[in-house]
Amino acid sequence: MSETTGRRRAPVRKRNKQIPIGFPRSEHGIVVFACISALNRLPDTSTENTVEVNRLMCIGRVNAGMILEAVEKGAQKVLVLGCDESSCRHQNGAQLAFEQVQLARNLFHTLGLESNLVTLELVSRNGTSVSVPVQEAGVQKEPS
Amino acid sequence: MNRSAAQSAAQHNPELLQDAWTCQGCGKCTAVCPVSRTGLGFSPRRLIQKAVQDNVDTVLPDRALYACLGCDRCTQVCKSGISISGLMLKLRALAYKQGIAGKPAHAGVLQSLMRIMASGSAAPQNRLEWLDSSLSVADQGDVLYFVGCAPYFETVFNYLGVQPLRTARNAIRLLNHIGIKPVLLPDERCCGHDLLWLGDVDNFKKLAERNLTQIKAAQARTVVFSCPEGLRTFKLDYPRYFGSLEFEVLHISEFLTSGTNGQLKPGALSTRVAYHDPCRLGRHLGIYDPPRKLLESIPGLELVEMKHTREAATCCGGTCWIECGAAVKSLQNERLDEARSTKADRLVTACPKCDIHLRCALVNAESDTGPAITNIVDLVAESLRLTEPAKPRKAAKHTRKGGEAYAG
Repeated sequence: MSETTGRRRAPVRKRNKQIPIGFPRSEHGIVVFACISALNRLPDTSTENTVEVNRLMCIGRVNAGMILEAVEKGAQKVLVLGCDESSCRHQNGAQLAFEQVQLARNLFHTLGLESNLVTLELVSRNGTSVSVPVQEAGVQKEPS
Repeated sequence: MNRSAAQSAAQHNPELLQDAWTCQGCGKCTAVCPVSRTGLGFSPRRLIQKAVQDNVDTVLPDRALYACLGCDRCTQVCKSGISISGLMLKLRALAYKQGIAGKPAHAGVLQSLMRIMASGSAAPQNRLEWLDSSLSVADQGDVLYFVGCAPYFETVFNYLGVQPLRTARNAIRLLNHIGIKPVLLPDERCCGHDLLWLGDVDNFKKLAERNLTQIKAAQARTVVFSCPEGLRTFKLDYPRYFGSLEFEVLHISEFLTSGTNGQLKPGALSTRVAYHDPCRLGRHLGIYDPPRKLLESIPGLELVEMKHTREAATCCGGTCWIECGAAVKSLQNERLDEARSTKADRLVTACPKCDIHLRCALVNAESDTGPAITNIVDLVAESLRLTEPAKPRKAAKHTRKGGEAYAG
C-alpha cells in the first residue's frame, strides 16, 4: 500500500500478542507471579529451576486474566507473591492483588475448579512470607 | 476494482474471498460504518480491497481486522450483497491459525474462561448456585432456558453494578408465570460466540458440541434465550458447522409474545422507555418487533424511539471482548446521548452485553446522569411485581475492580 501511495508509514508493530506468560516448564506445573522487591527480600530465590517465575514491578500489576491464562495453559498451581501493605513501594499493591486473586477464585469456583488453585502470599520487610486467606464469595444470592 | 486481479486473488483463495471479489468499491460500507465515523482510520472498503487485490496475508496482522464490531450495518447497505462480518469471521479464523488475535479487553479473563470451559477440565461447574426455591425448573422437558454466561458476567462485572443473574431469575419467573417449568443445563457451556468472532474455531466447536449433546439429552424442543448472541450463534453458526438443529431457538421476547406458549399479560408500569436494538438480535436475526410488542403490551408504558433505531441502530461497541478503546467509547457515549435526548426514564435493551457496555460508558462519563439501563426481561417482571425494582448499585470508580477490601 505504501509503495502505491508513496506515503511513508511506520512499520506495523506486532501488538496482537497477549502478555507472554511463561508456562509451566517445570514438572510441578507451578506458575509464580512475583513482585521483584518481594522476590529480592526472600532469603532463597533459587527456586527458578522448579517453578516458572514471572517478575512484575509491583504485585498490583497482576490481574485475574494472567492467573486464568496460566491455568488455561496447564498450570497446576498459581502463586501470587507480593510485598505486604507496610512494605509495598506503591502503597496499594497488596490491595489490588487481593482483589484480583479473589476475582480469580470466584471464577474458579463457578468453573468447578479448586479455588485454592491460586494463593496469595505477602512478604514482610524482614523477608518472612505470610499466606493471605482469600475467601471466594461464589455467585451472589438475590438480596431478600 | 480490477476484475481480473480480483478473480486471480479469488482463485488463489477461493473459499475465503468468494463473496469479496464482487466488491464494486462504492464505499457505502465505510460511509455507514460506526467505527469509521469515529475518525480513527478504519475502513471496511479498504480492508476488502486489500484482501482481494493484495495478498490476504497482508491483511491478517492489520489491526483494522479487529476494529470491526460485526454489527452488520455495512452488510445491509452493500450493493453486491457481501457479508462483510462473514468475511471478517473467515479472515480472523485464518489469522488465529497464524497466532494473531485481537488485543483482549478485561485482561483476557473472558477468553480464558471460555477456553477453560472448552477444555475438559471444567466439569462439573457450579453454575446453578443462584437458583432458589421460588424458581421452578425441570431436568427434562420441552422448553429449555439457555442461561449463557450470566454467572460469569455477574462476577467479572460486579464492579459496574450489572446484575445478569437477576435477568436470568426474572426470565425463569416469567416462564413460570405462564405455566412453564424450563429445563436448565447444570453443565451448560458458553455458546462460543466470542471465540468464533475471535477466530478460535477449534474451541468454538468444542463448546458447541458439548451444548448440543446436553440439549439432546434434555429432550428439549424449544430453546429460549435472553442473550441475543447465544441466539445468533445457535441459529446461524451451529447449523454451519453441525447441520440443522433438532430444536427450535427463540428469543424470550418472541417466546412470550408468540401466543402459542400462553400469552403473557404484563402488569401496569408508568414509565417512559427507549429501546436499544442489539445488533445480533436486530440486524443479524431481524427480530425488531417482538421486543417492541412486549414493551407496548405493558399498560402505562410509553415507548419512544431514539434517532438511530431498528435497522439503523448504532452498536453498543462490543464485539467479542477485544479492542475496547477510544472508538468504542465514543460510540457508547453517542448512544447514551441519543437516549438522553429522548427524555426517557430508562434505556431498555435485550442483551446483557449492551447492558454491560453502556453501563461502563455511563460509569466512566464525567456526568453519570442518564437513563437507567434495564433489561427487557427485568422490566416485564417488574411490571408483574414478580421481582423487586433494581437497587441502584453504585459502581466502584477508583479501583480497577470493586472487590472486597483487603483487611490487612
